[in-house]
Amino acid sequence: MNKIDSNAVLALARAQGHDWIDVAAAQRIAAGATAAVAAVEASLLQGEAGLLIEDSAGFQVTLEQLAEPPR
Amino acid sequence: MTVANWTLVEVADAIRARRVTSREVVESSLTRIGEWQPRINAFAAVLADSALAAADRADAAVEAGGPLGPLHGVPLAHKDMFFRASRRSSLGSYNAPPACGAGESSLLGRLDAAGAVEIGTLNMCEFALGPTGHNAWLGDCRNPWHTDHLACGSSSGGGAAIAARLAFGGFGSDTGGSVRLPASACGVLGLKPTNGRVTLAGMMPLSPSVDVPGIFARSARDVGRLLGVVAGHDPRDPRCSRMPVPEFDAQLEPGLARVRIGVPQNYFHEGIARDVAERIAESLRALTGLGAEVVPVEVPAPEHLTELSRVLVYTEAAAIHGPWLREHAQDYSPQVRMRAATGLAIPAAAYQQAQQLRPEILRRFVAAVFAKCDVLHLPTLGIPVPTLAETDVGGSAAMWEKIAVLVRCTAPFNYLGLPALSVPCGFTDNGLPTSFQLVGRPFAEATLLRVANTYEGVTDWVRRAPAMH
Repeated sequence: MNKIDSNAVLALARAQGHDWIDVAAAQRIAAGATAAVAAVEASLLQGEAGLLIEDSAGFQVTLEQLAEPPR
Repeated sequence: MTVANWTLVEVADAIRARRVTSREVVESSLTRIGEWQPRINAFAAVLADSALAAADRADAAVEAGGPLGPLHGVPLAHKDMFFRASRRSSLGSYNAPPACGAGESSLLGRLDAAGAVEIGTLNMCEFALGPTGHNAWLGDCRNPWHTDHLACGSSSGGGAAIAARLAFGGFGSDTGGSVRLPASACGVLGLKPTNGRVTLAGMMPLSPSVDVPGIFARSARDVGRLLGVVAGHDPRDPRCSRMPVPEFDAQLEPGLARVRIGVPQNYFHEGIARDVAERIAESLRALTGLGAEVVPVEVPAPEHLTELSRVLVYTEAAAIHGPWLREHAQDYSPQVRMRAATGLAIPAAAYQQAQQLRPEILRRFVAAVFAKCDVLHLPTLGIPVPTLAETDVGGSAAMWEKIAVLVRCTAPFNYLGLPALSVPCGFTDNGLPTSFQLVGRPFAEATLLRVANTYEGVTDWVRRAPAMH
């Protein structure tokens, strides 16, 4: 799993003008972001080639295609 | 039985039949709000004058004998994030960024057209970003069953107000469990519809690709009545589906013959508290006794779904709040600014991957689960409702773990966009309500409501009301 480094978070925050983010905040943000990104990586590992050619706008269409048939 | 204990459908029918006037019903709600609000802080604003004026108009329409809408004269209350041009919505915040929107909510417009009376706006977590019900700006919302405990969130006032019989139903938003969790904690029904079933136009965005308006009510029939009014395509919201809207009321015939109820064998029951597990098992036995077939189901990769949802939610929240947060960080509470800023640290590639994976993960989930069952049955909240004190962790290092425990069983279905209904099923050892959750195929809200309605026929959990201590 790629760990998002809190120093990188701090540098990124400063670069974006978020001067309120201090070392402690950067550590917590890094922890949250690391867990989130790890789930993406794990899901990619479970998938096969071609998964990422999906059009993300197609999610709503997919919901409709999988809908329960009318009663 | 006092009017306050009637269900939404019962009171709508009574107003239509002239057994009670809308003014009498609204006055009853306002009296109860006056008694309960100091204890539970469920309302952001009480709209007494405009509600009474609307009630009088409703009564005049009944007298005139004209056509009446399905919610005619019924007092409702909604999370303070559905916009009206005539007022400012708090969004649970101290100082909201312009990017949070304004204008007119299509959902409120549909409720108005159906004759509903808006009696107030409801307390909520700041910017709908929090599962507990703490709010540094509006004051914490408290659970009417025990005011030391969470109402949960982020639509905290919805659970508390409907449980305390201060209104007959209402709307919140559900991006990670924000309707189902307060519904469970307070002992009412809470529906997260399929994404796209209900318009988002004029509702504060937190994460537009995940957000969905949700319903609080005290019976499955009430939920169906409210959903039938607001569901359906809205030209103001390009994500809003053109799928047909069934007559939810008409599809509530009781009986569970040939209904297959899937019980997850992995993830969702892990770490569940003993007393919650007992109530969940009892509810399953009741459903079996009503004719349902119980089938074990292996759920594909549920452990990643919550975090995949967070990639979307935090990135989109950062896109909305980032510029404002840069200049007004002090106007956000510590936990909310920390969570919104988490999106600043998530790589754009990860966000795009989480979006692109979503349709295929949904297809695999539906194929694996709903080939074997019609609905999934699982906990809404796997622990007894905690106290406000033990979850008051602010932006500290403990916040991720506290949040994860609360949304463990709800957030996966926000990533998947599936409909999910929280149904009260008793009380835990601390005297607080607990619920099971039903999850269905896309647009299968009618099936969920039919199961819940049948369950209500043999239990009385939703008819129990918190007492004023």
